[in-house]
Amino acid sequence: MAPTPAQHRADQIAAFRAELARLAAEGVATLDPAVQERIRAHHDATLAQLSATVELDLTQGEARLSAGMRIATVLGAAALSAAWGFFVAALWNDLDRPARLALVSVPPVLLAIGTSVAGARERSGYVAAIVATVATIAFAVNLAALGVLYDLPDSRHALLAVGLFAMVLAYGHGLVLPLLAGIGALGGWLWSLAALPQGRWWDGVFGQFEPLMMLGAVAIALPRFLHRGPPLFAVTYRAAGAMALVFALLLLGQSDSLSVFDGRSKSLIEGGYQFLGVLTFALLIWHGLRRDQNELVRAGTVGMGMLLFLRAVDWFWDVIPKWAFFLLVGALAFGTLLLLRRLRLAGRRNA
Amino acid sequence: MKPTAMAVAVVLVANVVAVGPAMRERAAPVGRATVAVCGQHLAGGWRDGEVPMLLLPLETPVGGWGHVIPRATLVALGFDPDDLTALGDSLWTGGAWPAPRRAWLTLRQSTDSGYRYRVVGAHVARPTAVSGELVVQGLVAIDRIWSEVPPANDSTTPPQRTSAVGVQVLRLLPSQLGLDRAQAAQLRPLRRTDRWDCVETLAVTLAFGARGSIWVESVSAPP
Repeated sequence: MAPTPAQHRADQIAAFRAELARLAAEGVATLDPAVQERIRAHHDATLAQLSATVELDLTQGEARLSAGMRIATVLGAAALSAAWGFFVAALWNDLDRPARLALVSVPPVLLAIGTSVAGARERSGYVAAIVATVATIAFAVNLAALGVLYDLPDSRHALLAVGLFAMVLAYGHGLVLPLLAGIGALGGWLWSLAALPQGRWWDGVFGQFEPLMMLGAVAIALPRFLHRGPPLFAVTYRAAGAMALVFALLLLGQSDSLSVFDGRSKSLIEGGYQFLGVLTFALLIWHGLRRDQNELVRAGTVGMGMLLFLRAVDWFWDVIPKWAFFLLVGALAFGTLLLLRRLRLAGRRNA
Repeated sequence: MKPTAMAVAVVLVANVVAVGPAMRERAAPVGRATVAVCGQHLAGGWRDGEVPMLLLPLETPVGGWGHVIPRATLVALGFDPDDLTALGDSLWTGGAWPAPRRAWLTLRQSTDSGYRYRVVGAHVARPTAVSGELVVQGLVAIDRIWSEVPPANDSTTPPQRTSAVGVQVLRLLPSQLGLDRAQAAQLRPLRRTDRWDCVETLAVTLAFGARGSIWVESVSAPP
């Protein structure tokens, strides 16, 4: 995950201090004590100012602990959401209708308030992220339960409501985890709209991946036009969009039945999307390197690697010996390494 | 507090929009139908305390529902006339299946051993239910339909599996109806772990709302 500008500044200060100490220890240069003190005082004031607004990792140890806290946040949100779902299921059959309605509709409200309280009391945002994610899941459970309670036909609008709820919590408190839930839910709602011109039932379109591909491209471009929220939000949009784009293109290149154009020439559809995949993945890598957006480089590299592997399986698995197939895959990996090394050297020369 | 207020507003609006119309419809049902329910019409409810759901199982006629949902109706539902050329074709290997279409279906319960429901018509707009018929929404599809035809007067030979492109009802919307605890308790005697037939039945009254909702209103007491 890319660091925030405040964390980036703190990292720069730490690196400067470490390098200065090293230069002094190696006898290369020593700053004048007065200058050194002025710089130290300025850096201390800067760090104090940054720490007053956001929680920073000031040492390597703190950074490692933060990584652990992020993992704990995801696990905690997943576990508490599952706990909530099972709790509702356990109580559901013992309650009458008004109590069931209260059981599912009150918790999202309480958890939304809880997110606000957690955000105010604990500046790192980890606890607030857990509470907001559980609130989002509780709201999704709420709407699904209403469908069961009142025999309602399933509806795409549940995705819209859950997505809006998650987005309000994410933007209101600057939380990445609910933002991911919001991107997923709103993306699902937008994907389902592709059913309208085809006259399909709303969920009948989730087997067609062109809408997902387009939504992925939109999500990658969105941060250029949407400047609200912390800087990590832009990274999250691009990462989610790149994953959707890569996933959709890989599937479309594998099977024509997953395309809106299913029924026309199989080889044309699959070949066309394989070609589009190569172009898109190369573009992601190039654009990511140019703009220093690691998430795009990673998604493009994974997509290109997967595409090459899947093509190799399709073209060669049945016609060459197994040892030769894996030799070929190994050669492809070497080729990719050489290509990326050349790109890195070219970037160094241009810098 | 502004984001909190907005989040609470989203929850309240979504709940009111989802439940409000359903509650209004339930307060003033526009029609009722009494159907026979047997153990095979119940889904779930095997675990202690779990409330089962009521299914409206459809018959599976050989060749599908093309005889009651004619081509003109299929076109009115939104199917392309070109998609209908494959109907009845047992050797069809053409392209993708057309998208299923939503339709208002009129159902009538059969009186044979399974008490399943027979589709008697499909409509673009909600029709007025006549006595003894249910009106529910469903997804109508054109699909390959497999049928098992037993050889005449020969129970030793396995049935012959044939297939042809036909009209199918993919699922009803909603696909199952909820029961409250009292209704579930009344229907519980129909569930026998050692018997899968459909001999014992109880009368269940279904109610219909003005906008097409359907729900279980009551279960008659066993005789």
